[in-house]
Amino acid sequence: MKHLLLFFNCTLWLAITAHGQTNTTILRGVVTSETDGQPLPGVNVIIKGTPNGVITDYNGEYSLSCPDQSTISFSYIGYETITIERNGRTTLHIQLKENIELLSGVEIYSTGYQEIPLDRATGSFEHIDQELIQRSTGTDIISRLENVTSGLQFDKRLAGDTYGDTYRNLRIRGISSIDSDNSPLIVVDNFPYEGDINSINPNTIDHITVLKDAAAASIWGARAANGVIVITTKKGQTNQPMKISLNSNITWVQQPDFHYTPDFLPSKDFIEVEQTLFDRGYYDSKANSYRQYPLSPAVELMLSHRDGSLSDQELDAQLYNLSQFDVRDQAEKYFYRPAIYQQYALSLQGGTSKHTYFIAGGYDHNALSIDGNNKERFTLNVNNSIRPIEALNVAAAININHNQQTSNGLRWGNIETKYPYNHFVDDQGNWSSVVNDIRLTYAALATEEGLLDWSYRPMQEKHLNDVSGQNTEYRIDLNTDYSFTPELSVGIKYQYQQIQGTDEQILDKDSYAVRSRVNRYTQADGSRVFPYGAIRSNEFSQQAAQALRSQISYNKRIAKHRITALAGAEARNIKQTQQGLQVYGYDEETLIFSTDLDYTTRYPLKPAGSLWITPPANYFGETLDRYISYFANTSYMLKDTYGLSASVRWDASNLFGVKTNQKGVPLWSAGASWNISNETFYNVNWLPYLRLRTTYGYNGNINKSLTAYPTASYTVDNITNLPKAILRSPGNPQLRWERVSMVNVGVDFETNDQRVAGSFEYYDKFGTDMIADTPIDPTTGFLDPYKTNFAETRTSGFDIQIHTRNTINDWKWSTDILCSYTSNKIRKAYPDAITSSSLISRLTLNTAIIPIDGNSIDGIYSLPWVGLNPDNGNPQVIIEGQQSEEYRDYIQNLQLEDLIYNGPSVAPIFGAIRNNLSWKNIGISFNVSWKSGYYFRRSGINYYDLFESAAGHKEYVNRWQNPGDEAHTQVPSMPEIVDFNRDLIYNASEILVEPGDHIRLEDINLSYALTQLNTPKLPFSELRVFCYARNLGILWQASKSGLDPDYPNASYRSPRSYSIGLNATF
Amino acid sequence: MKSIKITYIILLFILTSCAEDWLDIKNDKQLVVPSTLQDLQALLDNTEVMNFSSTPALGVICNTDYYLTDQEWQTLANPTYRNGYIWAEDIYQGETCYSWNFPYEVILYANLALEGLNKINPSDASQSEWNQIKGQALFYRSWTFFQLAQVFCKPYNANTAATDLGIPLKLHSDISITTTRSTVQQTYDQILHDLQQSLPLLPESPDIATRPGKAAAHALLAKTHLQMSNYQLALNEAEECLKIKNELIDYNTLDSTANYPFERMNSEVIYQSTMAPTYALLSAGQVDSTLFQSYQTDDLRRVMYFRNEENRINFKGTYDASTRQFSGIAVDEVILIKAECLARLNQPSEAINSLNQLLAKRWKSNKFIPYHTAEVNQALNVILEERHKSLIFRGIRWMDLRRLGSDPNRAVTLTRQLEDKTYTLPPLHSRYTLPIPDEVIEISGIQQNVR
Repeated sequence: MKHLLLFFNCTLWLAITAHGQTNTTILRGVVTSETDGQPLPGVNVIIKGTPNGVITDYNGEYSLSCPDQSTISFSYIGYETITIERNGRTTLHIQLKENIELLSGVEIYSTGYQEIPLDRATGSFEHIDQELIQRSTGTDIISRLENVTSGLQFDKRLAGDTYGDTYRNLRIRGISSIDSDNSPLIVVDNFPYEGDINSINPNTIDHITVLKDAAAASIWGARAANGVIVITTKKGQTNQPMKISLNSNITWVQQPDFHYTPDFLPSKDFIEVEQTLFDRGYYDSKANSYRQYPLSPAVELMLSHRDGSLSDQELDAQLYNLSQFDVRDQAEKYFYRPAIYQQYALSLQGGTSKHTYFIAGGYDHNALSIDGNNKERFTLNVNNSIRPIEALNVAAAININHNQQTSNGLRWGNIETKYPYNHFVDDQGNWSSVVNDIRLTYAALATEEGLLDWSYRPMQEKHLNDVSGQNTEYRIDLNTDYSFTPELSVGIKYQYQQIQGTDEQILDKDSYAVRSRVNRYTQADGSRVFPYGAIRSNEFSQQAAQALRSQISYNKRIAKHRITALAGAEARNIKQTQQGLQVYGYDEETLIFSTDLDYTTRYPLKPAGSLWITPPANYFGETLDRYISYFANTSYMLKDTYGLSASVRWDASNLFGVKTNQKGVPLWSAGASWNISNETFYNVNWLPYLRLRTTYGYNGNINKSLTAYPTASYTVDNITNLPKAILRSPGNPQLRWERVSMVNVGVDFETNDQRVAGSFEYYDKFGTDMIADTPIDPTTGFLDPYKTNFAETRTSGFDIQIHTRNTINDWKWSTDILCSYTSNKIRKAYPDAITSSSLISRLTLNTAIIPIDGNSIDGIYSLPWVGLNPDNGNPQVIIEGQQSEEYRDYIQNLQLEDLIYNGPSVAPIFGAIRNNLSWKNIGISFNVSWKSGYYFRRSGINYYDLFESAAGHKEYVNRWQNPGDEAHTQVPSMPEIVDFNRDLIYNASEILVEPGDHIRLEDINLSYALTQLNTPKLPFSELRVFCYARNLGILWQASKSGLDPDYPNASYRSPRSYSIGLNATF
Repeated sequence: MKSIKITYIILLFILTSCAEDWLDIKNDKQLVVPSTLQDLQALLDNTEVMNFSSTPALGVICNTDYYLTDQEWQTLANPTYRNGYIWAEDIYQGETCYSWNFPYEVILYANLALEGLNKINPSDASQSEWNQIKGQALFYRSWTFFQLAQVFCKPYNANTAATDLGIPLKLHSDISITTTRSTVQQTYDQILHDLQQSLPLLPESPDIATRPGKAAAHALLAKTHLQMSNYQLALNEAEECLKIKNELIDYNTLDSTANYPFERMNSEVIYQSTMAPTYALLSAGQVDSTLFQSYQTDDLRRVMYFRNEENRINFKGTYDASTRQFSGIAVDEVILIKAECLARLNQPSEAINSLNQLLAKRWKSNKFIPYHTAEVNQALNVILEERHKSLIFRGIRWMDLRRLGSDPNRAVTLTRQLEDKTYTLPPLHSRYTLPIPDEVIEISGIQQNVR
């Protein structure tokens, strides 16, 4: 059944030129609706087994030339497909039966509340079908949407070491909020999804609808301003023989390449810097300090040489030896590996007229690129529906996802990759120790002094850190639909979701973290006040969400009028509890731990200082979110040509305090559509399908971090041990939902031979009551940033989608073009809310917002660059029209007006071209994406970081060294005295801002398919094998920096991946 | 079918009718809208706000008890430190002023507690708890008003107090009330009035020194009257305070080699408080050498107050045993107030006796030779000198410099040497009154102090 429908979908795009064949004659007829006898225009009339067919005209009439003995199928959105033998007849009048059930098989939009056929929608929807979902591979569903969904953007600015290399924020049609979450609402099977969306198995997804404008999303009300992604899982279908599908693929992901990041200075140059600093006496105070500050191995050698225990030759030899190491190679070799993802999914589905079922099981095993980190996922989905009597349908589904992971590996950045010559295994293959937080010479004496071994060996740590986590999600859906009459039905939907998570970390008693603490707290008499035992930390979380919705639907077609209406109410309750537990002195064998530690005495520390023992982190947390909504939605269609739609929703929640709750927020939308091509006066032959539609309405957005009343949170005061209350918010009685009004105008079209089809949509969003920083007089006593519903924003743009069919003979070739433009602007904000001290720190942060009216929310700002001083290579600044090097004065007097606005940091122009070619059983598809009109800030050398924390940068080798160098370099000279203001001038300057424009080859999919249609002897109905390659690289980019504009600050480029897989259907 | 319809309608009805109660539940259990006595006490027990880093540090920053070399001054990141060091006209250069913000945060908490109390009708059983919370809140507010007035207002002068600009007297928590300045007279009246009101409500001695008791209220009254030159009143209050608490630590019992010889909330502390951060400044610089040399060898303050390592002398005598400078009230200060007032009230022998009683605990056992003088001026000079030496880096020296400015015999001109330039601060100079932070002026439009 499914592949039949797919087949129909394909044939839709094929030429409907009837070939001349033997015994071919003309077949004529009228297609009408069984419900009201009205003619149905646009019905697909197809000769079965061929791609040939026609579409009924406005009067429901068709004429088709076809063989006398052939099978003809009639299909139409919202109606059951009829297949009939021609048996030589010349006329064939058909009555089609309306069937809501069947809607899920054809191009329809699920809003999570109802399913709307394509040509009745007024709003902006985006449909991602099964084929597109399965085109790519990957463990999670969301990443499969990238570059195939019009208007959907992946903002990856934060991807990198801190947030992980796969971190992304989704944006549908840009952003409107300044301070609140801008990510779209994700709905899975009718209800907002409260868990981690990555735990959903993509193989169980039937289709995805993205709701982009006010009318489409308004049904989701207060959380819909950022768009909605509606995910619908697979269900069995009525009258479908049992179908078994097997999906399996394996993906190989390239090992991370740390040679990518420019924030690295090779050993030889780094030692040169250290030698210079050493000669300046830079390390003297540290070296002489009784506090035993850590010094690099090279500096230790220089000290030994100075003290006479190392000869000139020995020093040179040992430094040379060090310079031969490269910590990047070491890290890649000992701590990273190519990741391998395996995915297996098996499903079973079918149905009779009274019962349908879908059962699926999945298993994923991901060996991640960090050696020691693995992830596994088990999924089980069971979906049953029965129709005991014609009017009643009851469906029940159980979905179970179980994820478990081990994260024992150590990653770049926390395996002491600080010094470029650090190495983890010596020439003899022994685990080397590297400098950590204490001087090597001091640590080496530890065992002699009766302390524990104080060396840090990353290779050893790898085996002493036991981090694991697991979470299990149960989702139970119960749906009941009852039809009082064919037009009127009620439905009750209930969903229960429970997620239980446990994270555990056991730091072995021999791990550095424990040994170091034990040593630090060892007292002069040798007694150990910090226990020499493991540190165990557990975090437990539980989330239980319940949702109940009842809804009345009315669906009626009277002559030329078609009315659809629904109204209902919904309540949701989400309870989350967290608990953290940590113990010291834990013994894995007996499960006992230290209970008698003294956290109030200040102990002397080794090598110096004194401190209390940090009490273990134990905590409880509990939150409860409640939402109530009422909604109604109606649409009216006249003669299938003129459409009107309206929707209203009222939301309330317990988030803000009682006053605001009672107010709630009413949100609404209205829309209209006009099928011009249905008009009698319309006679543009080359464009048989033309439709206009427009919508307007309001959606909301929530900011959970604010409250209407002064609120405080309780904790225990660590000085008095009394309960204390911390004021969290001074309260804001005027607090309310953010509101975004949105206008959408769209045109859908199709040329006469269906060679080109597509749509163009323009939108304009106005955000009002947007939450933003507001200046607050500190005399009020409230010192945290204060946020009010003050700001206004405007976001506008367009989405273009074009599908072309370029088939030449046996070559089937189609092209999908997506192109979007989106720009956002701050219309009203308080730039005063930014103090000049926070201004400079915001400048160099990747995503900090500087709200200046008229500029983008994503704006990148920089300082003007006036070049280097030819005498000393210092960066220059302009103070009162004069060149100057008074960096501190310059920065302290910096005003917003002094900044250069470079442009947005998220691409306003983006899109993709996907070409699909197939010849016989072989298909190839490749996707090329582009982004344009945006900027990124690359890192530059920071001497303060280089001197103070050994953070090198490859630019060092290009620095200004001698007069005249300023002609070919902008990299400041190495200063005599480190001045972080000087570094800021350079790092925040305009010359480090690069254009982000680029074109990228996203992926290639090569597949070979065998079906029973063309190979009848096949033991299965379809077998498809494929190879898939992703992240293939940049084809062109404007920036000459060599950095990937999507990952300018990551340690390594997003790696390439290659998959092979098969799908079999029995 | 009818029954299904009815059930359905009932279901819808239930959903609608219980909606309001159902939403009335708290979102996050850890969050409270402070409303019970327990909540209000918990607000006041937030020592991080109410006690620690809660008083202005500008008095220490602008004082000459420490010094910086040119290079140390150059490398200071914080403009307030650099500008304060040379009494520049613009101190903050747009930087956040903790000496203003942190004290006003204390006032917000105190006001929230006072407003919360107004909404609670205490039962007989809870009346004494209600009283104590009210007494505490009034004290915290007066204490902070007092501290702010010593930095952001002109020194108290009975002749001009009615027109000199005072601090903004925030008496309500509502953040929408615009800030206005009071007069110096109003500021001091408010302090005295609130303290008088708090006295009968406060317990004799609190459970813990982060909470005020009667002794603290008396001591603060004494401090306030001293600033106002009401010596008799100050003396009375100091004596009332000492009746409740007069224990002194014998410095001979302390370990001078310790990182911080004094414990936090030690037996001498009447009320615990520390000032806004100064560590980066004081650890960059060193203690004035003349001041250090003025402590004699057998004076234990020399070893308990100062760390003398690697040729650098730094202060370690904070009664907070941390990098924060103690700015609260301790018995030593109250004895010194008593001594000064006695001297000023023409009782030099009694005054010197009080001083000797204190110093006996500060010197090595049996090494202290008690002062003897019956001459008022001489007694006063000795007392003021020992006051300076005993209470250094508590913010008190700045208050003394301000009030002594009007005494021609005891006024001092402060001087600084930096980069071959000499900076001076003559007595009663307008730069003894620090500017109000720029952002406060920008947002509220209140009048800036003349520098």
